[in-house]
Amino acid sequence: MDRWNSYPLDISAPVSQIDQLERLSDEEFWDYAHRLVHAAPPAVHPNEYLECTLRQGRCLIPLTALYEVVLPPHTLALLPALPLWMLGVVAWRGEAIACIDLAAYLSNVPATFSPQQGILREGLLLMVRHADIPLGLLVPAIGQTAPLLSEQETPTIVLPTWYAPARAACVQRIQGEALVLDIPTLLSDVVQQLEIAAAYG
Amino acid sequence: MDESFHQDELSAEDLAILQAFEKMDFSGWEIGESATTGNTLPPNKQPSLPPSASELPVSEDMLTLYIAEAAEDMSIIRRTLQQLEPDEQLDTARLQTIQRTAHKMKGSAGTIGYITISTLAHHIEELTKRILNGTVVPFVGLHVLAQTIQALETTLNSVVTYNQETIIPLNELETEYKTLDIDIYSNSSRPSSPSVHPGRVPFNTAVEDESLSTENPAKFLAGSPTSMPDVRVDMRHFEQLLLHSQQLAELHAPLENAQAEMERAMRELHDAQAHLSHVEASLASHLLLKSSLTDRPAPDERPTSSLVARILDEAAERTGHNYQRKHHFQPPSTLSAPLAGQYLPWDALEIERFTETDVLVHSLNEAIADVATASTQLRLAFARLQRITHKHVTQASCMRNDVALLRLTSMSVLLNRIERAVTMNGIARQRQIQFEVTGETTEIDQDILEELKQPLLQLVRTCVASNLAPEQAQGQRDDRIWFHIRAVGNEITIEIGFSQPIGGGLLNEVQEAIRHLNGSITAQRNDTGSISFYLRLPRSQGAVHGLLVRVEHQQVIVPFSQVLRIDNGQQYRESSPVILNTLLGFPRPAASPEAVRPVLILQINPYFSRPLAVQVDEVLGAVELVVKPLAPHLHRPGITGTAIDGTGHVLLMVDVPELLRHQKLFQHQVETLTHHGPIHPTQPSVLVADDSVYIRQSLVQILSHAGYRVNTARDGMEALELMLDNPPHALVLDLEMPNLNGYDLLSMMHLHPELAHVKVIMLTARSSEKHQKRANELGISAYLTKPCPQDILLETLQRSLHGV
Repeated sequence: MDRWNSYPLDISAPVSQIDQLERLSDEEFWDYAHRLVHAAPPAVHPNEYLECTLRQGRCLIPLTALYEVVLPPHTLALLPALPLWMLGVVAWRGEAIACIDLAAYLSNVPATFSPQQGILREGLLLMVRHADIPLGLLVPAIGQTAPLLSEQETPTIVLPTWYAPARAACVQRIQGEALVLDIPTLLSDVVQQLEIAAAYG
Repeated sequence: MDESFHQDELSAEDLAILQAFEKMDFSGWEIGESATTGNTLPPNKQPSLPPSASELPVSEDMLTLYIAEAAEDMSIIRRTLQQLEPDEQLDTARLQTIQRTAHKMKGSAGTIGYITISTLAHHIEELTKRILNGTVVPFVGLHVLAQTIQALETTLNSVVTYNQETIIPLNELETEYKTLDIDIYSNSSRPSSPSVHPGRVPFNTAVEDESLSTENPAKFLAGSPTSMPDVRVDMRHFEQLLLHSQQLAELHAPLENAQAEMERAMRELHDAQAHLSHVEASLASHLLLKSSLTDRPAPDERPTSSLVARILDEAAERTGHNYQRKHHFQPPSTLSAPLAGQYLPWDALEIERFTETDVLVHSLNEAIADVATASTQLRLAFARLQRITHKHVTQASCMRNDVALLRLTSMSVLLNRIERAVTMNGIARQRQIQFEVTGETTEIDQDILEELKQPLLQLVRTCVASNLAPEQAQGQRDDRIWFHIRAVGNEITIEIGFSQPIGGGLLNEVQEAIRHLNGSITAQRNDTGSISFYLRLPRSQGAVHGLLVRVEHQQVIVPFSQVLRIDNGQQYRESSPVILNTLLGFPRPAASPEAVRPVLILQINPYFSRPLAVQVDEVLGAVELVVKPLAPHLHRPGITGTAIDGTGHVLLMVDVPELLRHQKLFQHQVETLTHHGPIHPTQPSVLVADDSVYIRQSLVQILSHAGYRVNTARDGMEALELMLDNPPHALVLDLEMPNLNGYDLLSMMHLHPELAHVKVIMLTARSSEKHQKRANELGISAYLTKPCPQDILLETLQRSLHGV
């Protein structure tokens, strides 16, 4: 990231800066391109959330944390010592990233997809990134985007019965019946769980 | 002017420069703030500074003149150094020549505003003086002198190439001086203000851009668009690239021919299709016209050939079927009317005549045949194009690999430097350290090597400097440092071993660099009882050749370097070899049919003394793919990286011996746990890590009496080993210990998530805020200073264990 910041180009600047582009060396150009590819998507309304339909219920994911929604690849690769809710690794923008069954993770139960076969047949993959770590969250379906209204905040969170108490920190609040997920917390926890699984595996 | 030589030893030109310099008025120049980390003069002793090169009105001619002169001086210094080195006796005259020339360079560089060059020249001058007066050991002094000259040359080159001084060589050099306990600025002849002695070196580098002051050369180079890092290229690799690029160029003509042939064949097919379409349309309209005339009396459908007509008549008589031919010939209306209802007379010449339908059908047949021919031609042309394109792709892939290889360099480049550092540091501390290396020819990406350089040098220097038993090292005990390097696929493993106990506090700097390279560092006790560090790094971003095998539904890559041969599995039917699927811990299939499966016979490696046999489900073939390391949270023992194939599938690259080693380790841990039974939940365990026997015994007494199960460790490494064998509930940790200090141990614990639950209470004599802050950053539960009252210790321990 430091290297990126040292380049003269501002990635939010218009592409018409031909002069500047022309002056870049090959390496700088590719770094610049890499930055553009991995740059955060254009700022959406910070209060906008995407509704995801899980098997047990619904959850809301902030659009600011979301990079892309893609169809899952037909196959995925397994890794040794995977937590039960992790499906494997998939390729995204030239990187191998962890693919998590979101519903299984939130309820702390084994993934319902078929990682043994290494095949994904349904669902959508939500690409999220936190602290430079990309992750794919597999959900059965997505719905509309909706703003999160501050007056709808509930003082106390009563988690649904299907939800694992161990994941309580990943829920910001509940809107309607949907869980509003705290993606940075969720991703930090996922990463930590993956590291622990590696050590015990 | 320096007293070590006389002005009359200088040439007229040199004197003119110095005199001109002396006449300059520097009184108005201000002192800037130092931006370098290497320049250690205290602020109150910072001499005034002449303006930088950019500020001085230096014409281009003057600059050219200066560079030519500096190059000449450089060549004198180099030549003299070469003459100096082989001699066993100290050659005073030659050293004085170097000193003199360096003095001259210092003056002229200072005049023109090249501060770094001037400083380096001063260092050369100072070093030669110290070698001559015996303050620096000649062996060490000459080596350092050679390094300083090298640094000067590099800096001068940066001026020639980029018209800008680089500060990196000077910074590196001054670090080297520090490790060798050479205080280059301590001499009384330290340059003073230019207003007093204009020929002296201005030591302020405020003119340097702040970004240049960084200690990380890679960062500096990346940040400076004008100074991209150089890549040294091995001639063998370059020639291979050249050969492959020639072969690629040779493929150009056949490729163009094949493309032209393909285009021609496509055009022909297109033409043939157009003709077919035209004939088909004609025939269709003709048949349409004909069918509209069916209610009229049928025109004479008799074949115009008498022979054909006779044959048809005979056949009709024999079979009763009326063989009517299509209308071939329309007789003139003048003839047809009177002869209607009668057969036409036979053609006397028996020439076959064709009706329009016949002609059209014939044309249709021909058009179909043309399309078929053109299709065949197209297929052939396509096959040929495919063949050549495949060759082209293979060749391009070869070249891509060659380019990746161009970036590789032998580890020996760095090891030579490290060996020199070890030798010199050893001499400076009157130790004879043996330096052993295996695998020095292993190749690694130059960028990675460059990033490794400083951390590894620092690690070795600190370890040598912090040796805790130097008296034992003087020939009484094995005093060795070794580098064992091993490459597996795209990963390189470096064991840096020390035979002597080493001090702590080493890991911080190294860890950051290793993490930046997507690598890892671990520590283990070695056979000598001291520590070995194990570094695992990617060796390049290039393509890796491997064997693609199927393991149930997964495809994985086994590096060719690990495979001795492939066996068809017949001879292993009874002996049941290790199954790769089991090693990887993948789900077992419900029931797999009995079948003979291929077995990979692996090369012998340090972990296993005899060749290993590993069974896979299928060998799919050879692949050449770019393998990248996994993100740290996805690191798994025995998985060295992943590749993405052409269809977007992720393929794991496995290190089979490492998988086996890990499995054995895991089994051992399980057996140990089973043997010792579970930890008693009502009696929390505490590990005390302190190098003081007295403190250890006191703490054991206190804690045992309070109902804790207590274990002790004499140093950080032992504490880590004990914790990994049997994680305690709490750790009472001293800060200063040999073989990993308290901070190091805390850093290492972060690499082992199974130790995440261990509550750490730091118990140290260090009471300063900075020590406490650092410990808190590393995740301790409590910080206590020695001497600590018993009740506070027990209360803190209890609070930590209960998460209060």
